[in-house]
Formats: sequence, C-alpha cells, structure tokens
Amino acid sequence: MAGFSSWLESTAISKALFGMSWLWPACESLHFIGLCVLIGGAGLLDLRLMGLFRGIAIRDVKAFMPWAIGGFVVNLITGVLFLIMQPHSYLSSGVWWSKVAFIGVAGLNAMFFETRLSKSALALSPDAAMPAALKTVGALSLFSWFAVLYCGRMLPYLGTGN
Amino acid sequence: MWFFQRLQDSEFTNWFLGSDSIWTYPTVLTLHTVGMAMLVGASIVVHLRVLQVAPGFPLDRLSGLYRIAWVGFLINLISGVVLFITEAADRVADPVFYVKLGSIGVALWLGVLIKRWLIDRPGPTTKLRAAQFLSLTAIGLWIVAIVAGRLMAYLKK
Amino acid sequence: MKRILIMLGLGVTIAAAIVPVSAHHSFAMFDMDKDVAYSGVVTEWKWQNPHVHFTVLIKPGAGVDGQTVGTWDVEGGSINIMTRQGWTRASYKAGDPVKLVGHPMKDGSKGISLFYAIRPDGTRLYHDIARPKEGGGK
Repeated sequence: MAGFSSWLESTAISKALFGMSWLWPACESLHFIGLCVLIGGAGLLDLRLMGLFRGIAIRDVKAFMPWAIGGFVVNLITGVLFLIMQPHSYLSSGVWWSKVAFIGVAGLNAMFFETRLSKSALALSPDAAMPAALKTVGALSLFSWFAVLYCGRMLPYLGTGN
Repeated sequence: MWFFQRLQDSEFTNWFLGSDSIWTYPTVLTLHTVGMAMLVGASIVVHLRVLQVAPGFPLDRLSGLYRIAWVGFLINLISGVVLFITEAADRVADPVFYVKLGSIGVALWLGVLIKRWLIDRPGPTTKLRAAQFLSLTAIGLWIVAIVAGRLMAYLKK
Repeated sequence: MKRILIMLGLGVTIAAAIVPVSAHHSFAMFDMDKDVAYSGVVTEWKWQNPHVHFTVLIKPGAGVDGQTVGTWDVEGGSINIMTRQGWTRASYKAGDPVKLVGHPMKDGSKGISLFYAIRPDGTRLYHDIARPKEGGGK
C-alpha cells in the first residue's frame, strides 16, 4: 500500500491537482454539501421504510432519491480527488477502509432493496405497517450512512498510526 | 471583547483543545457534522419538495422534517457554542463567522415562513410561487453556510 | 429545474466571492515537494487540537541557511495522530532548541508544514505516518 501511495503521489496528475491550492478546500465544501443532500434524501426513505411518515406512499418518498444519488456522486468524485491528491493519508488508514466498507454495506443494501424488495414495497398501501424486511433495510441504510460520516470526520484524529 | 478573550484563554479551552481523548474535540466536531447532516439534509428535502420534486409528498407532512431539522439545529447550537468558546476572540473578529451565522439565521427564517405559508395551513395557496423563490434562496444560503464553515477552518490563527 | 440550478449557481458564486477576500491568509498551502531543514529555538508551543502549532526563531549566523532565518509558524497534525507518532505535550517547550524538516508555504510567508522533528539523540518524530521516499527523495 505504501508503495502504491508513493507511486500515486509521484504522478503528474496527483501533483497537478494538489498543486492547485484552492482545489482541496473546494472539494471539502462540495463533499459536505453532497453528504447533506445524500443523507437528507436517502435518510427520509430510510425513515419511511422504518415505519415513520406513515400514510405517505413509498413512491412519493422515493422520488427524492435521484437527488440523494446526485449527492452521492458528488461525494464519490470529490472522494476520488482526495485519494489522488493525498493517497497515503487514506490507503494506510484502517478508519478510511472502514469508511469504504460502510459505503459498500450501504450500497449493497440499496441494491438488495432495489432488486428484491422494491416492487412489493411500492405496492404497499400508504397506511400499511412496514414489514420487518423493509424496516431492517431502512435501519441498516441509515446506520451505515452515519457510520460513513463518522469515519470520515474522524480521519484527522483517529485516522492513522493505530 | 475581553470577555471573548477570556473565554478563549480559559481553563476550559486549554483542557478541551489540549486533550488527547477522542471524546473531546474530535467527538464535538463530529457531532457538529451530524447536526449539519440532519439540519441541512432535512431542510434541503423540504425545499426540494416546495420546488415540486416528489409532488405526491403531502406538503403538510413536511412538518416531520422540520422536527428532524430542529434536533439537528440543537445539536449544532450546543456543539457550536463549545467550539466557539475555544476560539471566541478570533471568531468575533472574523467576518466569515458572521457570514456563516447570518446565512444560517436567514435560511432558518425562510424555512419558518415556508412552514407558515404552506405547511401549517394546508389547502390551496397563492403563496406557492413566492415560497419557491424562498426555497431557492434558502438552498443557496445553506451552501454559503457550509462553505463559510469550511473556510473558518482555514482561517485559524 | 433550471431555476434550481440558477439559484444553486448563485449560492456557490456568493460563497466563492468570499474566497478571494480571505485567500491571502487562509489557504495554508505548502510546497509539499520541498523538504527544508530548519534549526532554531522554540518560542511558543501549542499542544492543542485540531493542529499542534509551535513557533521557531532562527537567528542568522555561521552555517545557518539564510532562507531559514526568521520566526516561523510550524503546523503539525492533531494531538491524537501526533501522539501515536510518539509526540507528547512535553516533547518541546518554549526555550528548547529544535531541529525539524518541513514544507514551507508556497507564497514565501513564514509558515511550515511539519514533516518531522529530529530529537537530540537523532531519532525522528514524524507528524503522521508519511515517511521519506526511498532513494534519496527530492
């Protein structure tokens, strides 16, 4: 990993990107904005699946998801940029790999919902109680995204050397 | 002024900033991020709805999102005060700090107006167009608040 | 949709307008490609989060690199990360001599991003996990 980090940091693109003084802070701002839109949109769907906002059709909550996905994409792009600019800060950090793992969990969970549960979920009456499977998917998603946030924010403190 | 300097130079500040525990500075900072995700996340969803995203979502049910936003705001008020104390004098002299607080204040106020116009009184309203303008502005202000907050980290003495 | 984008654009523009106003002081961008050695005396020691800071005074003299003369603000990492690299609150105090290697600010102002300090016994205290590149570095 250390070798790969060193190589990546020596590339022209890494130096060019990190050499632009304003890029890192700009990516940070975008990363924070992206997480708010992601957690806002996806969080609302998660809460609905967990049984809150009863009486509202799941379809009408899912309609915010394109924006949540947009937030995720912004964070994926800025995240990759951070990685290219300062790979050693991340690739050698257990906390960062945990963050990636939680993103994986959230993503797999979302895919599972989309492919296996979505159809029946959308067919539910808006007043219906949520089945256990949907509650679990919603809770796991909400937990995972906040775990991602925690790992990310803790990187300058918990991130390395442990 | 000297009150703020005393806060910044206080025993509490020395202890809080000098602590090597993960439960002091890092945790308060992370709580501030959690509060931001709740406050801004919920607010943006409200404003997207006002701007006709997810038109089937009942306007009056947006009040649930206001509750989440309110909890996020409280978390950030408390964590924010703690963080402020440790840099009180520097912040009071920092224009970016006022931009941040000002944008948050106005964005919250716009949210309250929208709640009064569209959510607390369900039914047909002629105020939708005006509310949409407020929502656009509020989204812009939340962006300004976040950028200002990030900038403050770079303006530390 | 268009209006959303316009307003978002406006918001970001307002935000971006703040940047030049503060950029001259704020974006502590260091020349990460340069490893410069500094040798002087600690004048202020701040063992605190989010960044450990200390000030180093370097006086002119025989064998002193002219470019390093002056009073420098050295920025380290968080207490938590530096502690794991072996630093403690007592590592330095005002009045202690200090030798360090770091990256100076690009714009020439007297700021240094700490790479590592060199203890009197020759051991190195790194600010984080980064180590010098093999084969002589830059």
